[in-house]
Amino acid sequence: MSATTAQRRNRIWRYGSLLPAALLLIVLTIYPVFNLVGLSLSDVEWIDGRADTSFTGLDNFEQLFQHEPVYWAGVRNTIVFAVCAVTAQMIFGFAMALAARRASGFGRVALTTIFLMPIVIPPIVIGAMWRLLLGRDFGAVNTLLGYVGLGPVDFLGNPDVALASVIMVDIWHWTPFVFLLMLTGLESLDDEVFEAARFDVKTNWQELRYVTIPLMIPTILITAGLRIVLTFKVFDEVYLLTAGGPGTATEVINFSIYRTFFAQDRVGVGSAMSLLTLVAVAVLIVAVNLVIRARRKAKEIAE
Amino acid sequence: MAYLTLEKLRKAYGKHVVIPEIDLELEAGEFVCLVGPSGSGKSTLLRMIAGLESISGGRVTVAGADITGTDPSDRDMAMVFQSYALYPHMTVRDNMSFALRMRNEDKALIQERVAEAVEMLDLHGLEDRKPSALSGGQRQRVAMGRCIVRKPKLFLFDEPLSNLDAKLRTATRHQIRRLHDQLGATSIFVTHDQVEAMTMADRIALLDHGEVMQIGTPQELYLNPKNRFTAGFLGSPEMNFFSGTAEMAENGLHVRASDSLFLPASDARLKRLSDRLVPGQTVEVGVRPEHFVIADAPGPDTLSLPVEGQEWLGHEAFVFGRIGKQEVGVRVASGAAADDTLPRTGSAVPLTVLEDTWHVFDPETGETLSL
Repeated sequence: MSATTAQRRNRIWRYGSLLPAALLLIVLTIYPVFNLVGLSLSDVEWIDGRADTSFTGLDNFEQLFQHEPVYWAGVRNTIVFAVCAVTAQMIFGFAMALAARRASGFGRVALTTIFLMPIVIPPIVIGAMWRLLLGRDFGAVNTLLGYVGLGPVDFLGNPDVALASVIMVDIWHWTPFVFLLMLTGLESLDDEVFEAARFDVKTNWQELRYVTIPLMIPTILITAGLRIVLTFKVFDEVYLLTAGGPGTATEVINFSIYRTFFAQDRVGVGSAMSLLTLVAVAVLIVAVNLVIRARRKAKEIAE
Repeated sequence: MAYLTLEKLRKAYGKHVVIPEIDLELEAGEFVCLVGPSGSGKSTLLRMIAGLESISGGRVTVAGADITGTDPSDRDMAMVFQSYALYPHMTVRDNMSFALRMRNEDKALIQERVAEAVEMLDLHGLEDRKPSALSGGQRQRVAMGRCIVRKPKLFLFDEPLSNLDAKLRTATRHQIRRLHDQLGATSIFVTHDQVEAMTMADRIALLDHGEVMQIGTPQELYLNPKNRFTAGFLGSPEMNFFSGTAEMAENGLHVRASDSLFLPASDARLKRLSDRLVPGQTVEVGVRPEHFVIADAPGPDTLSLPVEGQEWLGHEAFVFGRIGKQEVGVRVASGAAADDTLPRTGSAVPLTVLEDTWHVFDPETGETLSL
């Protein structure tokens, strides 16, 4: 029958078209994860340029949980980093999107262009730039502070402010990303609903609180989730600005892993750290997903 | 003193003038339709009254108060939008009570008003649904409910029926008009649909290129159009227009082009026309399809129409043909509307015009010469 031939061809096409993506996923993601699990349970010695791997059970994890205070300082810093940076980025990005949406014509193009500038600058340039700006002796920021009789503040060298400085640079760097997603979200909303709101609300705050934000919740959730996960991957900014210092003041998870794995050649412990981080981030993603799905379901029930 | 007045209202986007200057007065309790083709400025005018569109010049007053520069939320008006513009994240109840809640009205009052609106609009059992779980007609009713609970000074409608199917549209038309009377409201209704305007309005304001072509009751506009635009806009099928040179005769007017058309007139009408018309002047005459009569036999005063098609609608029927390049539609008298007596395609029917029903327009200005 021609129908079944067509159906079979259809099926071959359907699975065949998935194959390249599936292969890539297996080679580049699934295999490395299994490899990571293997390494985290092993001790790797380098002898004559060859890896000598021996199975050591949970030794690496014991080491990680008992004797790696730097990693745990990194965990603490990363959480602080994620909460502070993402919160600020969400607030600023949303506010900027609201401003850009209200602006018209040339003002809007100008605002959007300026707001998006940081996102197109390569991280290495950002690191160099902010290092220069925040430098203790010759930095532009301290020069400006000097004019008003303040400082100098050792933004990157003082353990009390170093983390805040790095977070500040991250906020500067990634707010445009949030801005862009928020602006797209705002623009996809129905204009007539906002015109109706102009009859109903008495203040801009009421419009924001009862109309704009509720309608933006899906965009807000997805953006925040994305930003949190991406913040756990922060590396370049820290590496370029403070390299984790002073002390463990700006240590972040990725930096610990990098140092343990590559600088100290402790492949087993480094793998254990990676695996732990991977699981934590995976749990986070699943949690965000569950929240979004629960909301969608609640909506369907309401309807 | 009129309830709503627009004085020399003007709207321009830079050099592009949408509304050059409009004066309009509404009495309290009136239902006025703004009608016109797209681009006539009818929606812009409504949005200026609402405060959604800035006003480039002139004044708007409601009940004696100048509201020209005020925000929509301070104008005490309510609007039904084309897409209904319900808040998708709120239930029907919350949608309707939103404006009152934002004004910190008394909870008991809000509840009472919402209950009233639900009753009037027959929305029982839907109070806790979200708009996405409602049909088009229900959404439209919720949008009206949102206006009703506010008891506004003015109801504004921006083509609220255009998203409904034909059957529902007729029913909703009646419902809106009934609500208007029941509430003693004052309403402005924008539409491009002449049937909506004719059936609902106390008065129609017909707009073209931002200017009022004519304002009056539906009967005035239909029976005594002041200009060619009004005559051509209202009525379906459209009024038939012929141009030619006018010649007075004893009991009517001859309009001569390639064919001659005889328009019988009463003495009074003929007298008025002869004061205005120069013999041999070129004029444009308009005759509605229902003002033709199919004569028994061709004669000196009949116009022969070669039939090219019919439209049989049950309660009435039309035949269409062309005289010269002019498309002509004629309503067949109800007795002859049965399918087998309808003039056949290919045959020619002799037409006469009913006395005094026709219109004469100046071909230059489009103004009527026959009123």
